[in-house]
Amino acid sequence: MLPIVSITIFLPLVGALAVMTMRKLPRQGVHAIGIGISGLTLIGTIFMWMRGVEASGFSQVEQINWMPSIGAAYRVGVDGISLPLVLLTSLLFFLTFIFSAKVKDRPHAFVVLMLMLETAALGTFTALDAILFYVFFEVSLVSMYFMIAGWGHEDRQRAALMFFIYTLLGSLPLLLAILGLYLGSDPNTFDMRQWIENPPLSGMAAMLALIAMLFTFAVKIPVFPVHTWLPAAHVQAPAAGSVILAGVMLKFGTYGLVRFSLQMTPDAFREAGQIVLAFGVVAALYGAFAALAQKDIKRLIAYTSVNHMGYVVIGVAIAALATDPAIRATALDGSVLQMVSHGLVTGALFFMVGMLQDRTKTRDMEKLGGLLAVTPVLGWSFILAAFASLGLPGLAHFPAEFQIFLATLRVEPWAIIAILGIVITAGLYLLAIGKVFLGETSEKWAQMKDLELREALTLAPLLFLIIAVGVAPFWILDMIHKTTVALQF
Amino acid sequence: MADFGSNMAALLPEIILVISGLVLLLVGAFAGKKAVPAINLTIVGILLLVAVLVLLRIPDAALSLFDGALRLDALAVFGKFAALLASALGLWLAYGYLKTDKRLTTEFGVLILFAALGMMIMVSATDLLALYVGIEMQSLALYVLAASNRDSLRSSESGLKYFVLGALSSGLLLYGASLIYGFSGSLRFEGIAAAIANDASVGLVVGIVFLLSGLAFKISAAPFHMWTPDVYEGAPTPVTAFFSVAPKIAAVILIARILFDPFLQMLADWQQVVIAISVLSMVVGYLGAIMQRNIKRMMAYSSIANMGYALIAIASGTAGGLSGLLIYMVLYAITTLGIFACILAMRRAEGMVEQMDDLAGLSRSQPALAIGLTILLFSVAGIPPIAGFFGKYFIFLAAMQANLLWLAIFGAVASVIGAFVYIRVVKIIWFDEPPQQDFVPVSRVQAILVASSATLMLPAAIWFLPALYEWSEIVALSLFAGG
Amino acid sequence: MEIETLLPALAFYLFAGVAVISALMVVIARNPVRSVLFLIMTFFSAAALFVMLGAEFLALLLIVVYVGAVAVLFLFVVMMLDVDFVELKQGFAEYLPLGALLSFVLAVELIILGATFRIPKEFVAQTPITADVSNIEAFGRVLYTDYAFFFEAAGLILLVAMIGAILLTLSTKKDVKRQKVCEQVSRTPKDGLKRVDVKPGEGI
Repeated sequence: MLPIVSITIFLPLVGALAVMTMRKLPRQGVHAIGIGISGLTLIGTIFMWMRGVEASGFSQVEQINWMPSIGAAYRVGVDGISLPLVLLTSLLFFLTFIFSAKVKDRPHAFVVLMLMLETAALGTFTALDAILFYVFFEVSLVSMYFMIAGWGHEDRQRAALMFFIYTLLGSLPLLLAILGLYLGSDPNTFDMRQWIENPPLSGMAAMLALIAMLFTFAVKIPVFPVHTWLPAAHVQAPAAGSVILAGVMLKFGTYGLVRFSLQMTPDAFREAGQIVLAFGVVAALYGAFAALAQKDIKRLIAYTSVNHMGYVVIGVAIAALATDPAIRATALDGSVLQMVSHGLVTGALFFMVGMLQDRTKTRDMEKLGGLLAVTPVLGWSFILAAFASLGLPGLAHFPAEFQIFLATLRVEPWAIIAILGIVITAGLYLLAIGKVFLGETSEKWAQMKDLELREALTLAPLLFLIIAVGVAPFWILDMIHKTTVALQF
Repeated sequence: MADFGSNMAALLPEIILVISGLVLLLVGAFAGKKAVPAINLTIVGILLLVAVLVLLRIPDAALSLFDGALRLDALAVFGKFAALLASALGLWLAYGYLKTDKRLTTEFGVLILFAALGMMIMVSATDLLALYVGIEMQSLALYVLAASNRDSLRSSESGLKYFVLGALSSGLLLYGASLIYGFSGSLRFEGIAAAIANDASVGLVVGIVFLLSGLAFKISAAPFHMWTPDVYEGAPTPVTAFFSVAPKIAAVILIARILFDPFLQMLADWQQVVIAISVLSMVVGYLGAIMQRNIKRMMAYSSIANMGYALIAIASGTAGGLSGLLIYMVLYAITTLGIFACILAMRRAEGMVEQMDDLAGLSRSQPALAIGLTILLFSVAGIPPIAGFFGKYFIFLAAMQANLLWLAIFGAVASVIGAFVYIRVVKIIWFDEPPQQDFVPVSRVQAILVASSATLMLPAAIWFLPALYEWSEIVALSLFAGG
Repeated sequence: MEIETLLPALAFYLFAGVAVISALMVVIARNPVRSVLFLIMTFFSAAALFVMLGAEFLALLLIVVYVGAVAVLFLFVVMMLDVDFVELKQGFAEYLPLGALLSFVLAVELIILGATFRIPKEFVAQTPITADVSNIEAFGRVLYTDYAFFFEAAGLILLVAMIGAILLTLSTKKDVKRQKVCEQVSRTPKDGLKRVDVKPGEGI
């Protein structure tokens, strides 16, 4: 059978190498290659989707031995948790390439970095070997560093360095945890499937490994109080970078939380479940309150990410604490769906903020106003995405958050106070829409153009999916549920 | 025990080296200036040839030479091969650079040849006297090389500093060696091991501590690192490149051999000393590197920190630690040579520049060099998937295997500081405004070295790492099975 | 105590004591020339100790090489260089506390070491010096056989040192006056002397 997973992962990398050799190619050609390659990658992931996942364990596994004596190998595969994220990744990258076709500054390097980042992201979600996972995890970091430092806004150097050092420091505990799991497994192997089947550590060692992993993923998610890199990086990153950062890279953290912490050290996670839950609740509330205080619209959306990812953490913690398999499956379904929804919604929002910034050269909400009259399509699209973000029924976040809260009520009712976050986000989005799109239209913005074709093409699939997931989530939930219901721990 | 003839036969690579060194010295004296480049190239060729010869003559079982003074085992072969290769590449790099400056002399190559000979003795020494002889031969050549640019005050100063402190460290080393001899009654590692098995007295502990202090000087581990930045900065750059690589490999292998062979039974006694030196080196190295604006000084501090990591592997005291150490040193050597090739390429029309800020705009003027240097810097920083990460990875693995979890954590945290140091240079290369003047184009030697070292670091060379791992494991197991 | 054991013991303590005291004087003497002279004294005492061990050849070697060559070279250098030793010793007081502390630690260590020292078995088993083999012969027997490797390697170290000395000092610049041995040897009074008839009151 054709190794579709590997082909899909490395197609962008091959594209990147090709672009590097074609230095004479004009800008349009470079972007066309980027769009073409990411489009092919998207088709590849759709093929993976059509092949589907099996009820238990991993499907479509491809394996090549690398260092047999230490049990390291190239292993990739998907299950119901990773496949939705893979689909999300390839879609967001494809749209980002379309959106970024306007980039004039060093287009070659831009496309090369984006393609490398795509390989890294797909690899992170599909890796079944811990070393491979770590490698992809870190490559994304390097690519994102260059992305922010090279194409970001005013204060990009500082933000990029902060992002790099922060997440590098964050990821090293994971390395040590991986080493610990490796030394604990018998026979020694880096095969994540083995680790999931027979968790290699127990007792104190498992708790230490869990703490290390939680630290890593908390930085990546990010969870209060290690979230401080996020606003800086988001605000300074170019629009494409922000979309990928929020839509894809934050999911590394939550995906790792499920794949590593929950599946490889389940007992320790159960013991620490209350604390993780508390962190999730605090993150959700803190994100909402902090977003309320922002004037910069990009910062605002960045903080709502903290809030939404907080719900994911709550969902995973509930899954660890739950004793009833049905509730556990519900909580995990909600968490994974929340990751996908957040990618779609926040991706759309960051695209639109990027479009606004291209037109107005500012992100300050106080300076904007009445734009709905000038740019109705952009305005209504933003309102739709914002309503989705605040969890309106019928839109993408609702089914996810609903399941998370449902499970929370059944297991740890106190944690339901996190629902307060929804109220606050509702308020802050209404305020933001009021400031930016309603009210008096300033003279300055009277000549502003509405969406171009390129921008409309970028947004349309996302808005469509936001509604599709919100109205009929089953087409994606079925796939997730197939895996979550079969999880044993 | 082998007779004299077979002893000498086993030393054939060394003998070839000596004879060709002497002959070329004479040729150089009579042939005049025109022959100088040819002689240096010949020495590069001889070093490579001998390296291959060493590989071809791997003995089936460890061979004890001269009544236990030297041992030809897998570790010695590994060390000799690495040291010779590093010396050859170092000389080749220097050749390309000095030729343009018209400062090349016959003696330059001959001294590197004798330094390489010293390293060959060091890595195979199983006798305190042989160890000392090897170290002195190597160091003496290095002192002279450091001062070899006589027109530069800094070069003379660095040579003198290196010499005085090197002599002091030799004194410490000898003092330790004499204590070990006094308390064990033997200069041979076998005899020492027997004495320790019999009765591990305090004298041996003090002796090994002094010996370690002397050796720590040679690998510039803190707190014996004071000479490093000045010497690195003052010495001619190709010389700096040479002695940040080859002697370090030899000295580290020497430390590993003495600690893992006779003194392994006293692991508990020396482990804490090695850990202390290792932790200090990482801290001093990386914190010092942050302060630097001169790229050679930064590399000096970086090498101090890197030795800290090597010492983590030694502190583990296991076969896994030794194999991790060898992998780490090889990757370190390749990366460092590549980086120094880049530093040598920092040449403007009016001469060499050494400040980090001079690298600004390199990505625009010489993109290929910029990409190569970036890969190498990410490699020393230990960012996957570049090979440098795997070096650190094996070290941490060894530390955790030896229940030194906190040391692994410390190393991981320190490596973040290190990443900051290197990423700052990357930032200058890619994002700072370029100066008025570009560098002159790189020479062919530098281009080849940068390209090949960067390629070896890339995951494109996935075959390289497993091969290296297999070899290092064989070496490690051979020492632990025999010792 | 028997006189046969008492006398050697007395001699040992005498020479050892002199060696230690003069070594101390090397460091603390104000006048550098005196330092060198004390150094020579130390060498002599050490040579005497060697004689007592029956190693006459080594003792003579020590005197010939260290006293005859090395120390005299030192003396030359010290006398010819105008080194202000008072200035050199200026930091002494400043670093005294730290130095004293370190010395104290080292001294304690050495005392502990001395207390735990036992002569290893290997020493006792060494073959004693026999009367029928002279010192030089005993050396020769091992130097060119068991220690041939070290001997050769030491020779190479000296070669490296020589190369280094030449490389660092040999000047090839044109404006430097250099010795031309050939011309100096082949010089005759004819080339070197010129008769000048100086008239009174004029000068040259």
